Amino acid sequence: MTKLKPTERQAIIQSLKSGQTPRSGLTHIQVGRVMELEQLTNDLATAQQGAAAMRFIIGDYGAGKTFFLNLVKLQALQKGFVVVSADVTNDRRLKGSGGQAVSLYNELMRNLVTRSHQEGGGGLKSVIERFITDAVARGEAAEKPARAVIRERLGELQDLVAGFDFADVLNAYYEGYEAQDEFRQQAAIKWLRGEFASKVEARKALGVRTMVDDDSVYDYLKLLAKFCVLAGYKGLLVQLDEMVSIHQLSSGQARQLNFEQILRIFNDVNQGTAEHIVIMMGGTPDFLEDERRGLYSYEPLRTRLAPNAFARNGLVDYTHPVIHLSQLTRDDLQALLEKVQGVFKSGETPLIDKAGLKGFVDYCFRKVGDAAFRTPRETVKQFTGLLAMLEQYPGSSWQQFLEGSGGVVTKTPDAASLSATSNRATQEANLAGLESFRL
Amino acid sequence: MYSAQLQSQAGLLTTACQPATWINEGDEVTVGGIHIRGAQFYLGQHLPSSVGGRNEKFLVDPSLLVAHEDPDFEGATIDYWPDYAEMTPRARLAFLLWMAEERSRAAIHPAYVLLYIYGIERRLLLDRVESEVGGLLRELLRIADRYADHVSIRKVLRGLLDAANLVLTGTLTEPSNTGQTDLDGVPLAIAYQIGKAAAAGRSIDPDLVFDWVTSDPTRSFSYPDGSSIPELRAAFREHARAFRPEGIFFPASAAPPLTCTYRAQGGSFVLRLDSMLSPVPDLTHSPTARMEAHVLVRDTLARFRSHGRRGPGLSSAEPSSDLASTGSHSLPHGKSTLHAWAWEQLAGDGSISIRAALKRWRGQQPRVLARSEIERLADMLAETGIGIVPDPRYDLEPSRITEDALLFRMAAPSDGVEPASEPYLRALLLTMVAMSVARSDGEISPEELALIDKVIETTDQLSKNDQLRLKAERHWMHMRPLPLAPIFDAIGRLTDRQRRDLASLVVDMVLADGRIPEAERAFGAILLNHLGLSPREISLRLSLASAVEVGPVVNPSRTNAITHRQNVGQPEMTYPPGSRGTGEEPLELLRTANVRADDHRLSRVAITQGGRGANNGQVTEELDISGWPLAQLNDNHVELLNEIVRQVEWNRKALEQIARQHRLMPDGAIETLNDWAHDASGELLLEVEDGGLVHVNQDVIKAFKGAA
Repeated sequence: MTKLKPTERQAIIQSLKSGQTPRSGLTHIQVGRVMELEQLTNDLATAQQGAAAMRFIIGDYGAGKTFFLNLVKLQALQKGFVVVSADVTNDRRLKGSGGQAVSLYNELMRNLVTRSHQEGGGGLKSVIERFITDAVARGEAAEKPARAVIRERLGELQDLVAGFDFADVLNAYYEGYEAQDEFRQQAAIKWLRGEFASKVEARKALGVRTMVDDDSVYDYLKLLAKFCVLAGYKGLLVQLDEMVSIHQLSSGQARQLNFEQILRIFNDVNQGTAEHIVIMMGGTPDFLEDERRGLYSYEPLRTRLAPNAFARNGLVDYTHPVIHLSQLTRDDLQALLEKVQGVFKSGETPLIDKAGLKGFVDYCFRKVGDAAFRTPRETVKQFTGLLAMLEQYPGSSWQQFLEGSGGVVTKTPDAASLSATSNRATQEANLAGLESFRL
Repeated sequence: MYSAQLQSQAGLLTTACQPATWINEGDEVTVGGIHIRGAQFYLGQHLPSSVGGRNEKFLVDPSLLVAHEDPDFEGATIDYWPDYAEMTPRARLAFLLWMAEERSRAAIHPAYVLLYIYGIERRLLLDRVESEVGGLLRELLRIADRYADHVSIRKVLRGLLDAANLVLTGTLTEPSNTGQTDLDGVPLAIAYQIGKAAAAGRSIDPDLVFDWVTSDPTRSFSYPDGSSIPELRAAFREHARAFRPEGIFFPASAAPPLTCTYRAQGGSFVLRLDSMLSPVPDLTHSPTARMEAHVLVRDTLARFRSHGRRGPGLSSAEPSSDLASTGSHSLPHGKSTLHAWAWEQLAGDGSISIRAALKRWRGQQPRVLARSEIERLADMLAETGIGIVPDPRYDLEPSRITEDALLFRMAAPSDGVEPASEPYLRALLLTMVAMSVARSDGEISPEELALIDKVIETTDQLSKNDQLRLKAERHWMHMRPLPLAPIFDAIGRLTDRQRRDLASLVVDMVLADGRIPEAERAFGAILLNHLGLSPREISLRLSLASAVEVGPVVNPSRTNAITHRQNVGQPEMTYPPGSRGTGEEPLELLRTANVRADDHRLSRVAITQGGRGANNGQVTEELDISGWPLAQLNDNHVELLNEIVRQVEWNRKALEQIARQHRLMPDGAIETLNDWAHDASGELLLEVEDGGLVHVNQDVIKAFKGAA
C-alpha cells in the first residue's frame, strides 16, 4: 500500500465525517468485499480480452455501494481502463424522451477518467490526444497523412452507430490542433460529449450529420469502448450509481422504457455483441426486488436476474450478475475502524486502543436500531465523530463518551488540536452529530 | 429575502420584487453592485415560463451571487443555452456589466446577447405593453446594428423582428435578407411577400425570388469564385429581365396556404400567427414553383461562371452601384462609410469587429476572414489616418486572424501601411516580453506600463507611426491573451548580445513596480532560462537585483541590438531599501537568502500564469535518461521526457508548448508517459492538478536513476 499523503488524509477524513465516500485513498480504509472485488477484477480481465460484462451492485443505503464502485474504479484505472461514471437521477437516466438520456451521457463524459487524469474532467481530451498522437507517429513512420491514418485506424468503428462521424470529428480535432484553432477542437470535444443542442449546430460546426440522442446513448458508449482500446487503453468501465432513481420514477411508462434499455444492454453484453466494456449499476434492494416498480416488475429482467436457487444457507454465487453487498461482520467493522483510526492519527499513538475499538463495536451492536446503525457509513461517521472529540479533549477517554459513567466532559478543547481540525463549520457539524454521546 | 433598488423617473423606490418586474428603458437598477441604466429586462425571482413552468432563463434574480471580479465575457463558463439562474457568478457579472455598458461591448460571448434578447422577445410578443413597443424595437434594432456581424444574433433578431412586424402591423413588408442559407427555412417575410404577389396575380420581384432560393435550406449552390451576393443578385435581376421580360409568375393554385407558428427564440412560448396573415399561398412549399425558381437562379450562376460579371446577358454589375439600389437589403457602405464609421469607433474605446468593418467597406461581411482582406482594410483605414492592430504584417510571425481588433490614431494619413521595419519587430519583441512579465502576476501596475511605454519611446530608429502602433499593440496585449510561442521562437533567433539586453529588460520588468510577486519572479526565471542563463545566474540576478537599488538598468543603445533605456529622471524604487552592490557579495547573498525566505508565502497559482513553470524558479539537476528503460516510447516521447524531467513542476501552457515542439499533443503525451512510467515503476510520472500545474514525480525519477 502506498504511503498516505497529508492532503489525501485530510480528504479522507473530511469525506468520512460527512458520511461520503472519499474519492482517493480508498485502499487505506478498505476491508472485506474480497470475493466481490475479485469477481469484478475477473470481469475487467474478460473485458480486456474483448468481451463484456454487466453487474448490479445491490445494497442498502450506506452499505458501501458507492465505496465498492469506487474501489472497482480504482482497480480498473490501475489496469489501464477508461472509466466513466455518473449518478442516475430523475433528469439523467438511461432512456428518456426529453434529453434525459443525453444528460446522463453528458455527465458520463464529463466524469471520464483515466489513470493519469483522475481529477478535473480532462479525461476525454487525454484519450483523444493519445489516439491522435499515436496516429500521427504512425503516419510519420509510414509517410502517410495523419488524417488518413486516423480514418484507417477507426475503420473498424464504422460498423457501429455514428462510426463514420466519429472519425470525422477526430480529424476535426486534429486539424484544430494543427491550426491552433481551439474552437474547432472544442467543437469536436462538444460533439464527443454530446453537448451540441441540435444536429444542425453539430453540422455547422463539424460537418457531421449525427449526434448522440436519447435513443443512442448506449451505442455511443459501445463506440467509446472500442475507441478506448484503439487509443491504447484496456477497455471501458461504465458505472451508474443511484439506480434507485429509476425505481422512484412516477411514470410507469418511463420506468418501463428504462427497464427495456437495461434489458437491451444486458442482452447485448451477455450475447457477445458488446466488446471491451464493463457496466456496473448500483442500487438499493428496492430498485431490484420491488415487484411493482423495481427491475423485478419487468418480467424479462426478473427471470434473468432471479437469484441462483442453489445459493442458500449463507452461500453466495459471486458469478451472478447481481452482487448483494451484505452487512459487514463484527470483525470487518473492527478492522474498518482500526483503519479509519490509522488514517486519523497516522503514525502516532492511537486515540483508542484495541479494547476501545471493541467497545465501540459493542456499542454499535447494543444501540437501538443497530441494523441500520451498523452500515459502514453510519458506523464510520459516528466513529470519526468520536475521534474528533477525543482529539479536541485530550484528557478525556472513550469510555467517558460511550459508557456514560465518567460525568460531563467540561475541559476546554485543546487549541492546537482545534486548529488542526479543518474549520469551524465542520467542528460544529461534528459536535452536533455527537450530541448523543454527551453525558 | 432580498431587495433591489429600482430608481424610476418618479424617484427612488425600494421594492421587494418577489414576482418579476419589467425594467424599462427609463429605469435604473442596481443588481449585484452593478448599476444598470437603459437596459430592458425582467428582474425578480418568479417569472414562470409559459411552457414547462420553470422560471424564464432570462430572469435576472438579484438574490443570486454575482462575482466581484474577473467577469467571464468570453463565456468560458456558460452553457449553449444560458440560464441566468444557473450561470456562474463570473458569468452573471459579465452579463450585468454588459447590460450596464449600454449593451455594446464587442468582445462578448453571443449567448449573453441572446439571453438579453429573449427577455425582450417575451415582453414584445407575449406580455405586450403597447407603450413599451417603441422602446423595445429601438433596442432590438440597436443591437442588430451593433452585432450585425454575428450570424446567430442576426438570425434570432430576424425571426423576432419579422414576428413583431406581423404582430404589430398585421403584415410583413420588409423581408430581412441575409443573402445566406437559413437552415431553419425560408424567412416568413419572403414567403409571405411571394405568396401575396402570386395571390394578386402580380409578377414576383426578382430580388424576392433570389432571396427565397438562396435561403432555401433544401438546396445548395456552389457560388462562382470571387462573386458576392450583391453581384449575384444584380446578375439574377438582369437574367430575369432578359429571359422573363413579362415578369416572374408562379402558379398559386397548387400551393398550400401559408401558415405561421412562431416559436419563441428563447424557447419559452409559442404563438400561432396564422390569423394575423391574410390568407396567401405558400409557394415556397409548392414543388413546381420551387423547381422553376431554382432553375432560374442556377442558370444565372452558370452564365455568371462562364461569362463573368460583364458577360452577355449581364450588365456591369459593380457591387457598389448595385447595392445603392437594394435599399433596405444592405447597409450603406464604401470607403467613406468605412472611414466615418472607424472615426466613430475611435471616439469610443476603439475596439471593433473586423467583420463589421469589412461590412462597412464591402457591403457584406465575408464568410471567411482572409489575411489579404484584413491587410487591404488596414491600408484603407491608413488613408484616413487610422491604424489597426493586430495587423498580420506586424506580427512576429503570421498570427491567427482574430475577429476583433483595435483601432488607433496614426501620426498622419498615408496611402497604405508601411512594411514592418527591423527596429519595429525588435521593439515589438521587447514589448511582448515586457507585457508577458508584467501580466504574469495577474495585474499590470501603472509603473510597469510606464516602463513599457518608456521602452517604446526610447527604442532607436522607430518612426512615430511605429511608436503609436506599438502602444496600440501594448493596449491590445492588455486586453487579449498573449501568445507565448512567438516570443520563445523569436528569442531562439536572437544573438548573444541581444539576449543579454533582453535579460536586463526582464529583470527590470520584474522589479518595475517595487513589488516582486512570486509569479513575476517565476516567470522572469523562465524567460531568463530561455535566454540562456544558468539556474544559478538566474537566481542570483533576480535576487541580487531585488536586494540592491531597484530600477531599470541603463543599456547603451546599439544599432541592431535589442536595447532599451531608462528614464534618467525616474524615481528610485523602494523595495527593498539598500544601496547598490559594491562587490560585497556575501552581504548581498545574505539579503538574497532573506528575500527568498519571504517568498515562501507566495502562491503557486501565480506560477501557472507564466510560461514554463519552474520549481519555484529552480530547475532540477541535469539528468541523463539514456540508461532508463525507454524501449516502449518513441523518439518524440523520449525527447519530451528528456525535457520534462529537468523540472519539478510545469504549468499547462509550457508543457503544451514543449509537447508541440515535439509534435505531440500534451494530454496524449501525459497519458503515454504515465503509462510507460506506471508499467516500469508502478507509479505515475506526471500528476496533473486541477489548476493545470503538472508535477513531475521525483520518486519515479529516483527509481529510474537507481535502475540506471
